[in-house]
Amino acid sequence: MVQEVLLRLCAGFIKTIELFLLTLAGAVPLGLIVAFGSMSKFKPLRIVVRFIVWIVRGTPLMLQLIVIYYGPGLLFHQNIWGMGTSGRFTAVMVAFIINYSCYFSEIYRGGIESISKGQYEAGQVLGLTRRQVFFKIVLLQVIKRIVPPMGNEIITLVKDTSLARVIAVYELIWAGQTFIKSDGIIWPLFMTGIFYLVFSGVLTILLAKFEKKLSYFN
Amino acid sequence: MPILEVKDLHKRFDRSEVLKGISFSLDKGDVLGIIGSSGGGKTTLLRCINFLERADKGTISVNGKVIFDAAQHDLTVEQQRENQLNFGLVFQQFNLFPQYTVLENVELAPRLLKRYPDAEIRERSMSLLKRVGLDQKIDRYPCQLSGGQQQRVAIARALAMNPSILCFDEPTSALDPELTGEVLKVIRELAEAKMTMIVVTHEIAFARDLSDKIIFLDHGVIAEEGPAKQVIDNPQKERTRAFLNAIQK
Repeated sequence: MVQEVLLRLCAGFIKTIELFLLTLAGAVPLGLIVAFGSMSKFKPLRIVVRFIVWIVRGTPLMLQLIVIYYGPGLLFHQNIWGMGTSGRFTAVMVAFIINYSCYFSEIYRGGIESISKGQYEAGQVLGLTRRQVFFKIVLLQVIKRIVPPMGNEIITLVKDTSLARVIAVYELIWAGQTFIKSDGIIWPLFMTGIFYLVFSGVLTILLAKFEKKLSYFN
Repeated sequence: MPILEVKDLHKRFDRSEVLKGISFSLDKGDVLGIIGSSGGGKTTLLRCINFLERADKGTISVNGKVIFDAAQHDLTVEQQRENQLNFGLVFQQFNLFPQYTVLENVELAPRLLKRYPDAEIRERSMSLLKRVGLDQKIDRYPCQLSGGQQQRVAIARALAMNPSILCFDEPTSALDPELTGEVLKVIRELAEAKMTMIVVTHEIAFARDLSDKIIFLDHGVIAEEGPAKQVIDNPQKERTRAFLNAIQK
């Protein structure tokens, strides 16, 4: 029994990790693009981007998941997500990446805007290009400042992956919950909690290490 | 021919006109001191010369060649960068790059812009750091240095791009009084080595000793200019006298 539970939980956990890693891989870079959009000197773009960020941050991720998955089919009679599990998984990924890009973008924006004007000007009077100033001077300072808030979001993402089940993506909690119905036991569900704790614990340690690595300057 | 010639420079921010037609020239190897009360336009003038602000009107020429003309907008970014590199700027707040060591701060721009072969960059940087007395601290990070040391690194960093004219924007204003001496000493040594410099400062005694020529900037115009000792010791204008009296009390 224990073995069977562990096997099923691991299958769910793998899906959870997959959701987690793919969301990060998509949202970390996309967030930077959104951040640049929200800081654009071109006002219409800035307004549109900030409006989208407001919508995404101001509504529940669960609502976004449902709308993104069912919306195209019900509104336009067009099932853009494809059939079966892979289609649902794609829809989840799209929703998660959009949602987290918006959160990350605000963290990036805060970080970028916190860098003093003097750093840009020092680079400029030395003849560096705008690109060089950003990548060689500003970026690492921004990264240092955003590690703590990004850590928060990343830990939140670990737990948010459980929302994927609302459109029937088989993840960790669902794996645990099935045993309530089939066998009348709740301890597998408690075990899922341990999976989350260990996972977020490992991430906390990694983030602390990274933070320490960047502590040589301020 | 003067190395620098500024003609009729105007700059306006929203409603207030900060520079109302500044003209002056500077000979090679000379030091120009700019004094005046806060808000008089000293920093804005320096920022216009260093292309951190775009003047609304006027021209700037170096060695007889016009490198900035407010009426012309067709300079490419690259041309503008080349023109701007005639000048170096040392900031009031140092603005060292915190994630780089002393040596990396000095070498960053020459390396990125491939100004010299790598070995030469290293050699030049080391000799510049020796010149400012920091060749023993090349592996330190800015946060491990005192303000005076940081400012000396900033001077070496500005010199690393080999500017024709080095500008200082109140280089000692952010320093504790006991640290200003070491920075002033470096600037003085540069003057002795005939570096052409423009120094915006509140240190009147220093400006008097160091400068060949002084400009007193007041409400966006040059209220008085002349040989340093004459302007400081024997000002001709009432405004200059009032300013010097107020600052020396």
